[in-house]
Amino acid sequence: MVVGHSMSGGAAMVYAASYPARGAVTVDSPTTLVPFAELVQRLKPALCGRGFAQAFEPFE
Amino acid sequence: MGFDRIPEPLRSEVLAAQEVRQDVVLYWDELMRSDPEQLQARVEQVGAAIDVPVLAVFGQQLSSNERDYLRRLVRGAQLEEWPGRGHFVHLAEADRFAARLRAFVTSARGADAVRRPRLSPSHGVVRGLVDQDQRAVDGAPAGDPTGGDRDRFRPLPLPPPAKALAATRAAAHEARPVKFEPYEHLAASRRISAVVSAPVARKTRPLRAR
Repeated sequence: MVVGHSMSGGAAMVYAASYPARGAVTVDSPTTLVPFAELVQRLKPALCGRGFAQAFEPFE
Repeated sequence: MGFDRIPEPLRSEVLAAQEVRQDVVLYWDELMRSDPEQLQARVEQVGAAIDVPVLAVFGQQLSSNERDYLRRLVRGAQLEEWPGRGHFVHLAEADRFAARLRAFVTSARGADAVRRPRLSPSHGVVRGLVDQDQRAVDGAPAGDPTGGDRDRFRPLPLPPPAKALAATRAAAHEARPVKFEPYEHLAASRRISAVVSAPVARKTRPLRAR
């Protein structure tokens, strides 16, 4: 049984689709990645650079 | 994000233990590099390959579009909505969540033997996501988190000591009036756009070899 919270719910699903498992549980995982991926890509330069602390604030 | 929905003393423990590290956040690498719609198409591939019971718990009410989409994404998924509990729904109502999880595990045990996986672990999507998740689990990058593309990831000064950072955060949190502030990007991510239900070109590219 694999359990994943938030984005890790996706990892739990991938595991359950790929390895023997009895089930998977996702906890408040996004229903689609599209808007989240778009947001992360907009913030990518700062997330990957020295502006990380400030760029990460929307995620806290 | 919903920290204020977690009852004390658990909330203070969570805030004190919270540590934001750039090298861990960089496990979003795949999100940063991929076309969002192609990424979603790959999520749908995974969803279609799921052949075991799935329980999805949400700390808020879903729209009917979201429910419909999830039911198409993972057939037979059990959806639970606990409105107002926030992103940390499993901590906001820890006993209720534990009981629900226990019941789900018990029912899954009663099902057939462990199912054979339908996606090969060597599948690009699988290898990439599992590897990235492992980086987060380990708390340290497995190999090079930049994927050899160091120009895109400049080194950072070390963050303040984690303990001091956590204390500062906890103090700041206590000073704030307790109110629910929607976690904007997650709220946005739950809006089902037309593009998700429309046919998507499945031009998945292989993830980099490790």
